[in-house]
Amino acid sequence: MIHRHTRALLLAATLAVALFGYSAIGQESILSYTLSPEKAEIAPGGRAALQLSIENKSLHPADDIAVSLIDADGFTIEPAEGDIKVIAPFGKDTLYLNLIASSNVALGTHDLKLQVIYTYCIEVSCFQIVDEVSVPVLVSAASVGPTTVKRVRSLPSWVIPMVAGILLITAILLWRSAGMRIPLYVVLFLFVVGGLAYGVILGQHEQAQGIAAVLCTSCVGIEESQHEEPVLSEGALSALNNLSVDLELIVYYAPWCHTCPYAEAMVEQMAQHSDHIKYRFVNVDENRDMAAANGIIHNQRTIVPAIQRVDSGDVIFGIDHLEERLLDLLGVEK
Amino acid sequence: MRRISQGFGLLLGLFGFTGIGVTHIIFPGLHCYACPLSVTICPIGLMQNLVIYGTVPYFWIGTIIAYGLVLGRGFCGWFCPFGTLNDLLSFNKTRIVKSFSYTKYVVLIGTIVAAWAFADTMFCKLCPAASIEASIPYLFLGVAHVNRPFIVHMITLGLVLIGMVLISRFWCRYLCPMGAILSLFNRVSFLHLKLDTNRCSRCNACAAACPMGLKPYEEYDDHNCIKCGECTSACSLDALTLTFSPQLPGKSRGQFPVRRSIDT
Repeated sequence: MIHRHTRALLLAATLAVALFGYSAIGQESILSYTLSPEKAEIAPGGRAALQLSIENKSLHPADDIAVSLIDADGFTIEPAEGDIKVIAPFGKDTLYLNLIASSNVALGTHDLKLQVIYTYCIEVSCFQIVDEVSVPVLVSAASVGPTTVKRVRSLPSWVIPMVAGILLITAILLWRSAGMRIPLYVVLFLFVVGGLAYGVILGQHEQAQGIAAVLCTSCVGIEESQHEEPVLSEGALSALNNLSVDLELIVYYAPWCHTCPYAEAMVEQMAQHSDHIKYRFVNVDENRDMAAANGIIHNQRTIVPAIQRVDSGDVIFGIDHLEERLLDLLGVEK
Repeated sequence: MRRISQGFGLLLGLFGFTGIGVTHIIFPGLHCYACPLSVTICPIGLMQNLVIYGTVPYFWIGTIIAYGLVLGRGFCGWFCPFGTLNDLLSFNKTRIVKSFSYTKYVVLIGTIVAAWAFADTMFCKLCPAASIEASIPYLFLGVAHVNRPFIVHMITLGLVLIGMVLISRFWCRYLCPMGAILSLFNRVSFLHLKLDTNRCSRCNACAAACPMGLKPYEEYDDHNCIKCGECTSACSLDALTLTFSPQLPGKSRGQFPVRRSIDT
């Protein structure tokens, strides 16, 4: 039999552990932010590119994520309010921002703040959450001048050694000297074993399978990539006014799909014109099982973009004549 | 034997009809992974994606070198479904224009540079294998539509088919980026042509049979050789044989063949 003092002590310890655990978990932010570069350098009157990676660490999606610069005299960002519609559970997204300094901004280090406001819903209970992300900025006259860098694809650091390696192997392979054959076979054999083993350890075989298992309609040239925002026609707008039943749409996308943003934007625009349309975005790279369960699979391939009407389960793929097909899916006539 | 092997390549390419989804296997030839029946990964499509992602492609490199070491361009001659299509349309075995055959390396480098510069799989949008294995099937499956990308695919396919009819293995000779990669391994691949210089009479029968337009008695280790073995069948003196062994010094390399008459 446990002494009652001991029992009280155990109870108190359990409570303490629970409270500590709760507070630790409670303080874990839902979204985590990574800013690149960690410290921006900018010249007075200049611009600097910022990349804000946002990761959702929770079980529920974060919606309507708006990022703006607060309390920053002499600085502005472009776009003024960065916007991400939704980040799925355990999903990631990146905002590309340009920080602009006015010409009379003081030299030295400034600690700017990005305010991130988003909606977080657990079932029907929704909260608006405000986070702040610190942006240390060094203003110096010597910083690189006013260049706008947005989604610039800089040469990755591994490219030069990689190219050198390929050239070296190519030179060896084309070399006619028979005396080099045995060392060459040894090197190539090591490349095979090392490449396959390290690649598998890094999960590159899974990555390769993922790439092959999701078909983005523009990637293999089934459809054209669309980089411009869709514009709804007058006919579509009036047709949407006739919509009388509540509907939910799911837009399945992949982050690397060039056509998906067009489909996402069109659904967003339709939802803005009709309160009856609710929608959400699902990243198939991270929710393959959900895509599979909902029939976003065509002959074993997940095809994106795909838009599903939840109540009927009907799905449309791609973006060709999307407005027309989407209205059909919604059951309204133009 | 080669037809059986090519049939097996086609079967593996279209194994999706069995219900197996996409596996982790990189296909040792040009085969569109968007194909509804594909269970393997196209090496060129994957390569472009890895360039776009900026991934150091360890897995890809290991696999490709393994393929290169085993058969080299032998995969083009014995396995690749698109190579098989080239074979089926090989009516005109003209001599290869050697300098043009380097265009496949330009295509390969262009594919990599375009993927990096445009962050997109640009080669896939023109690839004739994708035209056959993705554009057309998805048109019938209701996913694709007759639009500009579809028409571009059909034009590239049409041009390549015309090329194949006019020049045997046209795609493999001049344009295939996968052939360009595998060709780098032709001098070390285990499968290789062996020439017995004492038997060769330089009668040119092997050259007449070569779908790649080579003179096998001189160019048996050429980067264009797809090791199909047509030359070995054509040689009445059995001077050429296909063997599977490491290409080590003194093993298979003869001197420049001496002219001999058939009856000696």
